[in-house]
Amino acid sequence: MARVVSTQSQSVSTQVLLATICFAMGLAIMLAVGFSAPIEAHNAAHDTRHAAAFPCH
Amino acid sequence: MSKIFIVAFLSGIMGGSLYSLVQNYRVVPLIAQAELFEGGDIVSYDDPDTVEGHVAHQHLLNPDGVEEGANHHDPSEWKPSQGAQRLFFTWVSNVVLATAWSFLLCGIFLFIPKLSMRVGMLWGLLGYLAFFVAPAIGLPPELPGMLAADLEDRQLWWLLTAASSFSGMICLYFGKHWTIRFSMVGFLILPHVFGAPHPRVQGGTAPETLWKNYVAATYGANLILWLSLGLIVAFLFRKVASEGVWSYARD
Repeated sequence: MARVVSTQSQSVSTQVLLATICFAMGLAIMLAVGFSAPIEAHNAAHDTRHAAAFPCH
Repeated sequence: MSKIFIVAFLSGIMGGSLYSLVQNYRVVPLIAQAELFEGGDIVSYDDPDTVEGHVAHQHLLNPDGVEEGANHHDPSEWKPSQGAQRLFFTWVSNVVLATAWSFLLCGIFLFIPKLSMRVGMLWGLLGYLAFFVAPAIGLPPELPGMLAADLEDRQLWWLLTAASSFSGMICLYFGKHWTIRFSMVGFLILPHVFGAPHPRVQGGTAPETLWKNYVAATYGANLILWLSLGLIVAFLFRKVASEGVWSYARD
């Protein structure tokens, strides 16, 4: 019984860890493409930023 | 772990490419049109008398809370050349953005046992509402040459609004008690009660009708992006998860 519980809690914590990594990746990539300041980054992603309604300029 | 990355990247490439087609047909031509007006007179969208009159009011150009959007381009700075290069960079950044959204969807799907395509599409819709509609209500999509409040204020408001709205969607979907579900209303409304940073006068160098068409086009294109991502990510996620390659808690 104890073993089942520990396996379950391990799988839940793995789930939470994986989800945290997914959210962190999503946020980091979104910030890079939509919010990064260098003018070259802005110009390369210009139309994408405008079309996604990210604040631009 | 690496399987989730493959799901997110593949979905990003597929969803981003489909989105690029739609965007290139409906959205990008309007951005290009607006750029022709850049550097010209400012037209106010607030006062109907001046829309057709093409008059630059003196107060529009005052620095008092209003950024002059028209003259931000320095000719010496690098940018992709018109035509194929610009299209290519836009496609790449669309794919990158779609990958970011796919990662967020993967993070959600990890907590949904027996993920169906319908739930996948539902989360595409919820993502669209949280990451496009909610911020766009306060800060409508901008055309080049539009007047706008300070960039950092707008970016901060955008990020807080998206985060708050996304939290609201999570409460609505995963909340077991009605009070938690109901709290989504607060998460959705709060950023708008606080209010988005706006310029004192709404306007820009492009005609208002062009801007209205543009706003409508972006709403449509982003809806297609999010719904297709919901379906694609759910499809790939189910395929990978069913092979039991990671400890995916199914009930």
